[in-house]
Amino acid sequence: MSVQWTAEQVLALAPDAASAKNGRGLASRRKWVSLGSGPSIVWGECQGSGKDPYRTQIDLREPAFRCSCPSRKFPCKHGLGLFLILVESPTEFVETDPPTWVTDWLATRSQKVEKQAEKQAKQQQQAADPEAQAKRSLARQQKVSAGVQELRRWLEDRIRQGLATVPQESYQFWDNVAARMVDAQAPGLARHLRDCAGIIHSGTGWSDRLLARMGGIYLLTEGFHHLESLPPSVQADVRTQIGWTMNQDEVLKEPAQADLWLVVGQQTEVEERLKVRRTWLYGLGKANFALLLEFAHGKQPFEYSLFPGTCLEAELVFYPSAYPLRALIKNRQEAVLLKQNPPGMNIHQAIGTYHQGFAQCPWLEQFPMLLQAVVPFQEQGIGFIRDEQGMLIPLSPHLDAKQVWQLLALSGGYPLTLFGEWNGSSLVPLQVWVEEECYGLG
Amino acid sequence: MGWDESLWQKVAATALVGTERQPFTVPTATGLLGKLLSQLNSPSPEAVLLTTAATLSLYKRAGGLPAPYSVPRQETCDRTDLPRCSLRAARLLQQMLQGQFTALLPEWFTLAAEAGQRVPELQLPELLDLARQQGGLRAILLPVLGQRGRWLATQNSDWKYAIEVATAEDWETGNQAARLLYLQTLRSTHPEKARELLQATWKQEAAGDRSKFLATFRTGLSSADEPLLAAALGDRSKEVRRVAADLLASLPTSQFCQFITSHTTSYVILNREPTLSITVNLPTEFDPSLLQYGIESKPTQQFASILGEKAWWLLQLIAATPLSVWTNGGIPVAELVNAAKYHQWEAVLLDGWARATKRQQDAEWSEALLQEWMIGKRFERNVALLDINPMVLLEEMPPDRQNAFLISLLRPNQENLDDLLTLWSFRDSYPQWSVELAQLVLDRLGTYMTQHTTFSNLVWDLKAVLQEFARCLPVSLVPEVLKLQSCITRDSPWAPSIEEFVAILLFRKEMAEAFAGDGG
Repeated sequence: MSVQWTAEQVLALAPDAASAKNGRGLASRRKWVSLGSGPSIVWGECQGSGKDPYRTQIDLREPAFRCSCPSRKFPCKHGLGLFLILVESPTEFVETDPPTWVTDWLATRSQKVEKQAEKQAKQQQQAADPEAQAKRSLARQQKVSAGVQELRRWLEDRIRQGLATVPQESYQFWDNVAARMVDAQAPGLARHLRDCAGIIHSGTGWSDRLLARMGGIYLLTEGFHHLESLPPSVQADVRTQIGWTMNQDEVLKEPAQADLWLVVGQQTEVEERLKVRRTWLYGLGKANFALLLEFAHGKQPFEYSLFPGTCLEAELVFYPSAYPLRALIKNRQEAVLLKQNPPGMNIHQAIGTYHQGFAQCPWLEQFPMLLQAVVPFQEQGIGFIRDEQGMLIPLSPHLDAKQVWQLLALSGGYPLTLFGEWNGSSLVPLQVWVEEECYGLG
Repeated sequence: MGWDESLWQKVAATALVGTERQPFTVPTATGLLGKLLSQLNSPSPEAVLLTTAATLSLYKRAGGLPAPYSVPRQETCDRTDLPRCSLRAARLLQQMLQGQFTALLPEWFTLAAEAGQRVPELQLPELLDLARQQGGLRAILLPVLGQRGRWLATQNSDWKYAIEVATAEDWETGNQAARLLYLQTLRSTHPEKARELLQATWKQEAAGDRSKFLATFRTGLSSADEPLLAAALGDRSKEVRRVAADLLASLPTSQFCQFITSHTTSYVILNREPTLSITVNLPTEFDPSLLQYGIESKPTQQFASILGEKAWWLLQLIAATPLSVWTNGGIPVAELVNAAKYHQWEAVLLDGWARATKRQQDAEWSEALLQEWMIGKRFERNVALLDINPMVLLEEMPPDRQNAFLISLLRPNQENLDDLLTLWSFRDSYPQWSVELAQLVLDRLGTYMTQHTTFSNLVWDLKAVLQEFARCLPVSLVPEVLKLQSCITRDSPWAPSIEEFVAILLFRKEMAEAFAGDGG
């Protein structure tokens, strides 16, 4: 049983302050009808307001939570309470054979892996009908082709008529063409076009930014034209940008990289009811980055339990790209805590790495930067960081003022290790390490 | 080096007006970029423009360099700092900042200050903002900011209050607030120096400033201040005169007090035989010599409707008379208070004494007057006290006497809840309750709550009061509180408030533990 967790770390898993408070309230033996443990698993029954007690269980390997209560928070207060008891008074747990409701869950968890294999087999079966598949992909290829043709004409028209009048157009102007790209099964192009609508209202220099962006989209269509002549990894990038999604099972066939992966940054964004979580991992062995993208609807939890500052021993597979970053977890072992600052670069080296990456894949929008011995400072409320070599980069102007001040407070004017996303002109800090403590800012 | 900003500008200019108005030609450049540009061709000038734009923007972005650092380096924070509070204490703080048990923030700061610890770095910006909006928090936040907090505050003018140390220079050139702060600080260390400073500029100060500056003399007040105060009694400003009289009344040896005393004792005579009684003989005409000592002949607007002129003279005189005048000769305070009871001038006598007690910060008189007020049930007789809230006298008593007083207030009535509610009226000057007092309150609550399980107005009153009580109880009484909770059934109307009561107390207990080295 792993009891290396502390109560603070457990409470840091709480989705909000109320859950932390309620979890703390449940971290008392008398609230629980039973408490049991087995190898890498604990469970308990908690008397709630209903007739039957809630059944709560934690798979400590990730950790992963499950509870029979109707709460949509994750982990719920019962999960937190149970975990706290484990951390604070582990002897309260009786080591015994798990009841069926626990073994059932464990079984479904391992079945997940099996199911994936099954699904794969099924898909292979489908693929066994190559004729039908080829037909489908040809149909899409043609649709996209037609869409790309249309978009090229549309972009050229804009340049012929001049960009000066574009701001007078309504949002629909961009929405319409984006919608046509969705119809043409090129949702990636649609996204690029919707971004353009935002650029117009981004203040001074909008026309330069718009032209650069339109040039980028045009380049994409150009790449699509010559797709066959491009190296396979660049083909993959162009296809991703246009909107082809790669089947996860296909990705999982790629060679895996086993490493000790440190969670160096995490950020969750909510678009309407869809939560998108970006988790950056850093392979301590091979010193490369990986990006995990997860999606969850409404209050549903994300698939993986990944906590800033923790390490996971895992095999990752990367989506094919000229500069592979996005990855999937093929399999993972237990999570461990790393009490140590990861090694980083200075600003010059990090920018150099970015240039190399950008030259290989010009579609990189957020580039991972792990910087060592940098000092944050501010001038008129705008944040910057500098390194010991005297180089300087600005922090994102969209940062909340509080975040800039927090960063300063953590540093005290002294160097720290910082992970952030670089977009080519400014950095969004996501995580810092100071005196072997790790702080998430995302 | 093939890049030149004008390359981009040419393309951008054409794109802005459109190729139908301005023909486009690919700009030329040197090096690899020039070579690449020269290869761009297409029958459509728009296509060429777009690919040129793409090429140039990618080229620029792939070659952008970070700027060298040219600003002077800022100061680093002093490394020798208070130890940071434990992770557990930090989490509790975070919880309060997120809106739970926020009313307990002052207690967190106090505990941290007692433990000699500072707040965690991550919460500094939020706390500095909070105390900027809520001035009342500043005094208790400042000691736990640590070097780190002050270092941060130097960089943000919104947080200036955290590092403002008034200097002699502020007195010369600062604004009113800065000068006041400096004078106040100086009074606590070098009162005579402060007096000399004020004396030197007295005539040039505005009336509003004069009264505020003079009020700082409450700190470190001594008979050496008398000449300046006596002069201020003749000030043009009424407010200045009032402040000066208030201060002089606190100096029993002052000429002011002597003069007042001679008047008071000629108007109010104590007769010791057979029992203590008080005779009041007021003159028919106002003695104009009193004017120079700040005693006014006509009641202020506030009192005009409730006091006659003579009562007004008497009230001012008693309020300005040293309390020792009354107890000279060994008369106990309680006896004096008793003799005033049912007296024709009862309200004026008691109110005057209460004012003098507050001015002279006298613990013994405070207790005697409070006894009379609360336990003697004077307030039930509707004898109007004028405008002084007797509860403020509690502050003048030492903590153990405060507790003893509150216990004696509660002890006799086992059934009545009113007294418990009365405790609430002391909320602004709550002492930390002693175990004995707290236990008494708990017992009373238990009895009441088990006997009264129907909703009434009292339930609502008590609900509000309970939250306050939970902040006064010593955290060592958690087991007793849990015992109380176990006596309350789940469906009792008290159940939710007791649950909240327990939650507050448990949170406080956790705070105490987090600072007791048990924080992990």
